[in-house]
Amino acid sequence: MPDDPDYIIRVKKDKPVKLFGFQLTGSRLRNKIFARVVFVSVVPLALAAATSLYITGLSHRYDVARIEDNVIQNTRKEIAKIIEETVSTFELFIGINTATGRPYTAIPELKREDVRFILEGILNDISYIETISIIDISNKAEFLKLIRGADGIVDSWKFNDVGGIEYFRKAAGGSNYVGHVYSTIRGPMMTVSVPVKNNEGTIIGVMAGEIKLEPIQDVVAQIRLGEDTGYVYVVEEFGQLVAHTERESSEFLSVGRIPLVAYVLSGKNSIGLGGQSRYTSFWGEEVIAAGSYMSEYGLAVIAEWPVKDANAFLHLVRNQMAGFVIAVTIATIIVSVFLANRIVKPIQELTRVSKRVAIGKFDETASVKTGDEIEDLAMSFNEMMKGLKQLEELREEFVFIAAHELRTPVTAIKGYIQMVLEGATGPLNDKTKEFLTKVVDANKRLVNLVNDLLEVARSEAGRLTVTTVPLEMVPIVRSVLSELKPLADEKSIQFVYNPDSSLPKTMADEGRLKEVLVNLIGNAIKYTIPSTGSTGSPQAGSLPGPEGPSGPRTAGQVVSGTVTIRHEVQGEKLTTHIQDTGVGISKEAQKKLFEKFYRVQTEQTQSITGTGLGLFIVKQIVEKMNGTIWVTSEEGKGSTFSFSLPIAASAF
Amino acid sequence: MKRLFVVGLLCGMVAASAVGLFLFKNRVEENVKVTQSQIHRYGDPETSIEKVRIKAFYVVPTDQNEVNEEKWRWLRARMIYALDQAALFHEVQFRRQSAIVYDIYPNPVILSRNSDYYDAGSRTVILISNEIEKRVFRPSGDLYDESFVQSGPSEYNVIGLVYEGPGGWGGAVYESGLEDPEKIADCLGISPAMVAIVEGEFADGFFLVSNKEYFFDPNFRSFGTSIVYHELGHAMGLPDRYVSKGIEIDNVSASCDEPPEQAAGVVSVRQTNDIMGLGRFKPIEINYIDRELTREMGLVE
Repeated sequence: MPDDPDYIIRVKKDKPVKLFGFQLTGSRLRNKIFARVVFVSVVPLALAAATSLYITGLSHRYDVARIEDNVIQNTRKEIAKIIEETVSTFELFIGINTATGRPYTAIPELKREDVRFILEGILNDISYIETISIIDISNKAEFLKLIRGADGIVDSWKFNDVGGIEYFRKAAGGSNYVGHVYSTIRGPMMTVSVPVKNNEGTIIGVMAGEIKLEPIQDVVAQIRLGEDTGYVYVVEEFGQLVAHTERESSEFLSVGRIPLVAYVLSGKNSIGLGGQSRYTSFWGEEVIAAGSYMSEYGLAVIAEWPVKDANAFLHLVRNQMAGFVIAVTIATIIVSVFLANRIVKPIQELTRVSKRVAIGKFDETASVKTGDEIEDLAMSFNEMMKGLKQLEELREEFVFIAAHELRTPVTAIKGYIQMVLEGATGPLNDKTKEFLTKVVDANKRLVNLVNDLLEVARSEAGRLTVTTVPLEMVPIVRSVLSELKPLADEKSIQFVYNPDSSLPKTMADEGRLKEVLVNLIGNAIKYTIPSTGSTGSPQAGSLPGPEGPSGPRTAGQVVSGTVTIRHEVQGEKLTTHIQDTGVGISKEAQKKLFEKFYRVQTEQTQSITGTGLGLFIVKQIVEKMNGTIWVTSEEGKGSTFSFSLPIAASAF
Repeated sequence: MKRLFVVGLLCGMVAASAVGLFLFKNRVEENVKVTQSQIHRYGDPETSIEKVRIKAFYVVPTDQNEVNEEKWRWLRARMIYALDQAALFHEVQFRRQSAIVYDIYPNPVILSRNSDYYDAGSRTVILISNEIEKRVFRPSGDLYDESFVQSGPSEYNVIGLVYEGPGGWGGAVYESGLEDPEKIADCLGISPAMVAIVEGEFADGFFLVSNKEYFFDPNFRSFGTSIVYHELGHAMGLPDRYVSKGIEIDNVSASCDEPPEQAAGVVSVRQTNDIMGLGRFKPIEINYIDRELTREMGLVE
């Protein structure tokens, strides 16, 4: 029986997974425990984290949208308030003409000095009004126009006919007018106009002015979002920047190509959670943006908040959550590895010890200290092993004693029958001789069996003694061949042995080595079955010369087979091959050949007797001499048994 | 099977993380697209005015008062101021997509004839421009200055005249296969007074403003620079945007293949308050060019 425990108990082995030399997985149970612990702890955690992240993100987006919307709405209100207040500045109340006692019907009826005083007062009070004029409704000509020049307020030299200009026509029609924004050297400006009515509500003129958008710029400049990084800007209907939290509007920037701005300028609002946009801004920052359109003034109010700042809180939460999940995952993996090891290791210990028991080794108990049912199982296992050990010892003792006790009587039987055959009790007739010869043969087999059993018993009891010394292999082989030559001659088997004279000495026990050689060469002879009806061997022509130890042969002599012995030096080993031309051994049989009581059972070998212990004993002896033994064979073509032994140190 | 389970587990975790991150992301939109404007002469995409070079002159008829050094220094300073302001105004209106540079002729140019000859209404600018072309820009001219007449290959060249006399006019030079101004006017459907044959090859446009009215007269001075740009605007092809007693037309075609929409004498001008309209009488600092005009000059906003 081979010593490899896996030969007896077949264990499925998985490839171990190691990390930094630490075994993470490696057995099925460990894999299962590891995977399931990780699954039940990490997956819910990851899902919870993802869900939490989603909800937090959604909530945060809602918050950002709400903040931006509030800022936009407030900006809209401020802009509307500024424009409305400015327009209201131009609303002029014309009372009764004191000279006539009737309402004024035309602007020219007013005293130019009075009008100038009023207009100049407005220009002095409101610094962002650049021009102001009053136009008569009838002749459509400017009655008075004041301009804020570099040297102060001056009268316009030219009083134009403005009848075809939009701001006059609208106001003359009774509506307040707020014109388009246009760019000037002093910044964006717009024209406003309002109808001038007398105390009866009749429109007698138009008051018009051109205003800078400084108040809007001032309001927008104060608006911030988040950590002062978010900003607002106002765009006029052609996409020209009017005001910006951080930048001078005189930068003449056209931002109408920004998709969000274009969308808003088309008259739509882009606010709320659904209206939020994210893009790289005109100024190169990734922003979250929203916008709203002031249709009454043709202005778009856009809020842009750099993502970096807007999502700073979310990034913090996300990073903390990711850190937590990673930490828990790592901890879970480590814990699951330890947990798996804690469960698997005692089981592995039990498996290891049970494998030793399977090959009859009871010298080691399972050491499991888990303080739980697995330790109880290990203790029970150790108790069971003790019982088995006792049984095994009893069996070995029985075999040894039985074999030993049997050897004395069978030896006596052998001696006495031999004496009877030799005529010590008087002459024997042929029939008696024949019967006694069969008794001798049977007794011989019995002696062999008893000897083999004793040898096996010694081996298993550890009493097989081997003393290795440096030995010359060739004389020993020659001696064995000489001993077995009669047996070979009986079957017309020729020995072939041409050793190299320079072979090194080998470390072996001479008696045990002879035992090995006798067994292997004897088997070679035994399993080389002579051919019948042949007068010449097919191999005769290739037989070696008369130098062989089997002695000279003459041409034409019948040879039924050959047994070839040769040596080979392989590194620090001397290998001896015994090759026969016998029946050969099947692959299946080769695997069990060195097991106890195994015999190759074929049609050709059924008549050959044996105990089935020879090769087991040979293997024990060779291994005891620190050697190895193996066989190569092919059915019908013979076998080669090889054993290698260590070369004596003196040979090097 | 176990491997599939582990791989599936890992894939599930990665997918859950990816879904979380995806949902965390906001809607991402296309980034800003920038379209470059190609500024050109009004209604004439073939003629670029991305760089306008003005060759400015102070021109004095023979019979006018003698030009002394002090007056010339004062006027030159005013010209520099006006042209600087005009350049700044132009830059603002065209979003820095077009620029004006200028060179002032180092000395006043005394014209060869008396005022009677030059004070011919809208023809004044043509008469003086033709003379300047001959005397300054031709090597045979008595005032030829090789370094002064240089200009860049892709520049739009304008002769700017500050005239010691009345008036303010401007116009652009167009190629025509016809030689008779009457025929050209008839072909274009405009007044013959608006067409003149230009001699010389330097100028793509020209304008004239009166020194007396727009630089010296205190009543005009506050908007004198606006007048300068207004006339310069004509040199870049821009039409008037105000109603006057003359002929108002806001579509001048450079080719008889493209008949104008309006016929001569029909008042169809869209009146505006910009620098080409009534706005020419207000300071340039608060002036602007109507967007209908800048769009027709290739400005993309």
